Amino acid sequence: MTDDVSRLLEQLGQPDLEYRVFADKVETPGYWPIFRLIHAHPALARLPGAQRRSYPAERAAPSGEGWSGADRRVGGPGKLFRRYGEAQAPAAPEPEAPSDDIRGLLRRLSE
Amino acid sequence: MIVLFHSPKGGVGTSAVAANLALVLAERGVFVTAVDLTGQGALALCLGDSSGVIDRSRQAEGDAAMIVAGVRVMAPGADRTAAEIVAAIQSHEDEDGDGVVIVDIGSGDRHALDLLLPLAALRLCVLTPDPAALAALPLVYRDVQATRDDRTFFLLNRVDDRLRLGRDIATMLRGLLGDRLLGTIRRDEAVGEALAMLETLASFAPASAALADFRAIAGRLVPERADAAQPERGIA
Repeated sequence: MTDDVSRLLEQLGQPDLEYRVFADKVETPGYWPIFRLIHAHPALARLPGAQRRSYPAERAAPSGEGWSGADRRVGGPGKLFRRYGEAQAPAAPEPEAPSDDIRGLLRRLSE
Repeated sequence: MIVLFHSPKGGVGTSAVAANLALVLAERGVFVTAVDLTGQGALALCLGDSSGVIDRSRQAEGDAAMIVAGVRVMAPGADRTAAEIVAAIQSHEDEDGDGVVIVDIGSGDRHALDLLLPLAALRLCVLTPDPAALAALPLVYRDVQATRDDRTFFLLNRVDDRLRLGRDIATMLRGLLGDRLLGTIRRDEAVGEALAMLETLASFAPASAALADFRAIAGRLVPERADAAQPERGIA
């Protein structure tokens, strides 16, 4: 128990309170574009963690964290307004799976 | 031992960090001299000085020296030449072999930094977990010889893991700086409140989280001495 915690418990009159120090979590920081610039900066190449980290391509906002309150309530950005048109519009066809077959692509274009 | 405090970004609390580390080193029984080269007088204020020069009987090479909360404070005037400033700092260092001279350098004062870097045992760069400080990080290594990198360490000030961006930047910096990160100081209102009360952090908020962090960092700088004296409260 650190000194500051023991002093605090003493001031609170709770010296017998059970206290546990949790180990630091190993965290992965969220993605911010400035991180990529800093990691790639040549002036910082001599730092221990420079260039060691590789960032994936631009990541989408994870699990709705960046959505506004209205978007979060309806399940995603834009759905708040999109749903008004869904009742009248016919069901959209299922998008075709992407294919590398050039003949298939030409056939779809000609239809 | 000369320790330079400097940040590539102003407003990150360099003077407060330098002053509080000076205080906790003094409470460990270390003879500490704090030199303010910022020209702002913030160092003495952060030490709890409310009335300017306290003890003019202790003069050093014509520079006004005062004792604040057990720390000798020196603020060379703007008219001092670079050589005079270096001589005054070295004279303090030579008085006691195991003393610490803490030098607070303004963020824009590249000249003083270049002048004193060859003399210093350590250069401590203070950062805060915000994008502006992060963007200024490359300036730390601008024009610095690789042979002096081993003296450069970092302190992360005002860390608050409740804020998402700050938490992410702090985590990123821990990974980037590795063992160059000497310590982190939690964001603590008591630091500013002690300043406003013209008191030291130890006297105003003995249970302060930031104070515990300062003590932990001081322990890494200088091992605790068995004959350590208790810090003087307020102004000596």
